[in-house]
Amino acid sequence: MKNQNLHNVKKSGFKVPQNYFEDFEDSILTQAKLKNLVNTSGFKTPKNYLNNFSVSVKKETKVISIFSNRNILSVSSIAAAIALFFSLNIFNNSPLSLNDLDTTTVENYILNETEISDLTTLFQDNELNENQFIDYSLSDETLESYLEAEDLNDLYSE
Amino acid sequence: MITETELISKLQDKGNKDNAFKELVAQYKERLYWHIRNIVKSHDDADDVLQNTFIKVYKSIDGFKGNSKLYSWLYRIATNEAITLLNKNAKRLQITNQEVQDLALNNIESDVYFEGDAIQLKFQKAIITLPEKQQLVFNMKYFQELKYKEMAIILDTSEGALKASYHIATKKIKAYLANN
Repeated sequence: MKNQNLHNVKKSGFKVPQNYFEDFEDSILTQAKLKNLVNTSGFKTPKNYLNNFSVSVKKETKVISIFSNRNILSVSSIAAAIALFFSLNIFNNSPLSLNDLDTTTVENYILNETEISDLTTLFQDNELNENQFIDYSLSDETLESYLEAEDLNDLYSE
Repeated sequence: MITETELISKLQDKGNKDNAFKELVAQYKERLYWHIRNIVKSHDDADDVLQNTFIKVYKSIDGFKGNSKLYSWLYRIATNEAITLLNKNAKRLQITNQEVQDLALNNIESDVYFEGDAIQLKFQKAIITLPEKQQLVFNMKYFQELKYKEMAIILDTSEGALKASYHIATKKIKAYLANN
């Protein structure tokens, strides 16, 4: 059998990359030896796994979702209405009292939202008494322990 | 140049196998390459198949009984590997083998490894319209100029049947070229 390399090029139009056949023997020998050594990936399956393989298909129960494309607008508007309904708290008939507010809210309100002049209208007395700021109710026990601790002679000198 | 018998015994001898293998590759690489290329059309595919062929040879040379000539055994492996690749691509793409070859030829026009003119491309397109066996016969006779005697051994078909096959193939190709 003759070497038909050039012959083929002339006739078929197919050509081969330059130097393709050069050193082909060496590279193919390396590959062949490697493939001869490493045949399989090393992975194993349990015995008879493929023989007894079967696919169990669960019967699907038809689920009709309320979130179909058709209903999505009406469903979401209903949900929004319900959310708004509860947030407006119309079920609570008793009116809000001052006791529902926490101290911090009140303080912040007084500090940020009111003027001193607003507060003065709240006072009924013209004069302020110290008692309105400080609670002077001392228990008898506190008095007694004070008097015992102090040297009463200091009091006489005044 | 060693005889075929000597080559085979060296291939089957562990100590000499590698050197004998290189010798074998050197002798047959081009012939097998073109045989494969004519089937798969693209160089890259031909390269893959050629390598697979020789790797297979390296693995199974120990079992070669010498009942047939070495070249026929090599050609048979190469043919099978090439057809296997076509089958694989056909299955992957869910198309026929002919369509796979057609795809390869459509790409060939811009392929660096095709320097044929329009006629030669049309010629290739004509060939792939033939049934698989006829394609093989035509390519081996027309491009590779194998003898019918050699082809009969490779393809395991009588010389008479091969001659008839070639004759029909030539007629069909001429008709295709005339109509396209």
